[in-house]
Amino acid sequence: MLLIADHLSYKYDKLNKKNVLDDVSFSINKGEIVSIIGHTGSGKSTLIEHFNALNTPTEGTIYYDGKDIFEKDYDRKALRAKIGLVFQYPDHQLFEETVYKDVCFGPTNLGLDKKEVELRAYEALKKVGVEDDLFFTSPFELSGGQKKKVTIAGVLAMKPEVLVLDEPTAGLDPKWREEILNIAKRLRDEDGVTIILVSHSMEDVARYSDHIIVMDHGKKLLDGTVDEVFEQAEILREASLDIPESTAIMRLLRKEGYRVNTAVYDADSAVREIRRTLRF
Amino acid sequence: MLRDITLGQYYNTKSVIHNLDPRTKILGTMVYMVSLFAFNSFWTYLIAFAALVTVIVLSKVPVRFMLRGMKAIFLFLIITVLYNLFLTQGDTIFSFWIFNVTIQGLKQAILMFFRLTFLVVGTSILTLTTTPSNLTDGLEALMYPLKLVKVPVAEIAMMMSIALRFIPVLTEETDKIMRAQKARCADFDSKNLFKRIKSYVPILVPLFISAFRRANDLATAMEARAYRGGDGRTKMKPLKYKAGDWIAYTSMLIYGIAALAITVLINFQIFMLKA
Ligand SMILES: Nc1ncnc2c1ncn2[C@@H]1O[C@H](COP(=O)(O)OP(=O)(O)OP(=O)(O)O)[C@@H](O)[C@H]1O
Ligand SMILES: [Mg+2]
Repeated sequence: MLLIADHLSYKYDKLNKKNVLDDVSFSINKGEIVSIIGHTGSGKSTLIEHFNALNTPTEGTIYYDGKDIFEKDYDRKALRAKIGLVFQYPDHQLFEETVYKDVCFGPTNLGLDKKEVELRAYEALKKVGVEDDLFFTSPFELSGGQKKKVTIAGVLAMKPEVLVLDEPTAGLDPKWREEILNIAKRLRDEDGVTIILVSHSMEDVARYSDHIIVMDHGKKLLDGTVDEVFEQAEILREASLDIPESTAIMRLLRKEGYRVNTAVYDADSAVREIRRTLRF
Repeated sequence: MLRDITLGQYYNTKSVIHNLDPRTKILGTMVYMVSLFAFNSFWTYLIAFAALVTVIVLSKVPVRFMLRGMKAIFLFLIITVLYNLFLTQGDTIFSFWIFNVTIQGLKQAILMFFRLTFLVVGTSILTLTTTPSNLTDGLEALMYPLKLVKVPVAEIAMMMSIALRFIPVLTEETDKIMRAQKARCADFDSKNLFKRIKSYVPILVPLFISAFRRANDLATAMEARAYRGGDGRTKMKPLKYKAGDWIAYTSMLIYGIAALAITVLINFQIFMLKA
């Protein structure tokens, strides 16, 4: 287990009685793609900001690689390079004159020498698929999807072991959503980077993740594999979340007496499954 | 920490104070501020404290919201108090090292502490109980005489309300940007002053860009709704005094007279003692 949240509780305001996170525990394995889902205000962003110690829990703690990251003498600056966090809005991160310089910011802060910094920036930009002719344009002139790629590169350049993405596909069209999620998948498959995604789209979550954590009002509601979590459609609905459309259809067919497999999360597999059932 | 600035943060609830006309509240705040500077004896401050407590209770705003404003000026408050405590000339009570604590200094320090506290809490009541749009209306009405000397009162009022409205938005944004840069190992507490100033560039650039973008959007939105300056603009809800306002004005008058009377009385006593 790479990352363990141990009875984590958090409140922004010490005077407030209500916990924003309430006794949350789970563990994440190396090389997993984990999705954290939950309705607006359920505490997802607050939770992931604990992973790299931007928030300090009021109770409980987090273990990374077997060490308590909130111990007094733990090197939290080094931790931030190991657990890369990409925030939702690229505009909060981009500030340099050129895309390339902006990506250099992270590795420069690590105190690496210039050559190493530039090499890492180049590799990171290549990895996310930013074309060479954009390297020296201003990041403010890019489209939303390109900005997103650059911010991901900006974090990747620190060579993190875990990449945390807060709603990476918010506000992007389907083509760009696919592209961004594929970057995440490729990073896991090729470089073994553990991916933690915060997402709203059940279709995306079902398609890309190995492990889902469902948050509701600051509490962990469900935790398990994709099949295990979408099995619990009723509980999800109570937390104002939905299962993917295709899964819902299969569940209805099942209710009607068709012997279909309900662990189906996209249109293609749904068609295949229906075809398979109807053949007899 | 940045969230501690209460200025411009309206606390939404229903209370007699919220219900007052903004002109009443602005004038009331001004009367209060003047009184803190004009009268500075123990008894007048006691009255000022009583008045503040009464208004806070009536406003139904939790005290911690007012104290948040205090956190923001905490450092300033401490420096002021220490400055007065150690650097006022007079009759020494005790001294250590290079410092001399005098009876006058002690008195002055205590006075400054309460004056600043009352000022900050008093003014934050105004912004906590008045929506920015109401505040603008009130200011505009009170500045009306300046129109005669060609001061663009309506525009100034609009600018002020927009600025107030955007303070919490921008502080929150600053917080988010800071976190985004910290996530890339940015270091904001370098010991080297030059490095430290430089480390704020990654915060300031996104912040300015965002502020300009917001300003631009706002300008477009205003134009789309045919805003063309203050002249001839009518109000959806024209300001109108209600019974509560007259009660408030009467209370202010009583407060002022009481403070004045006490001051006169104290001075008279001193005069008599001397005579
Ligand atoms: N800086 C802050 N100070 C005080 N309260 C906050 C702060 N940030 C978030 N909150 C509160 O904490 C709760 C959880 O917020 P959080 O942003 O973690 O939710 P989320 O699940 O990420 O929501 P979304 O899907 O909208 O991003 C919300 O009720 C929110 O109002
Ligand atoms: Mg969020």
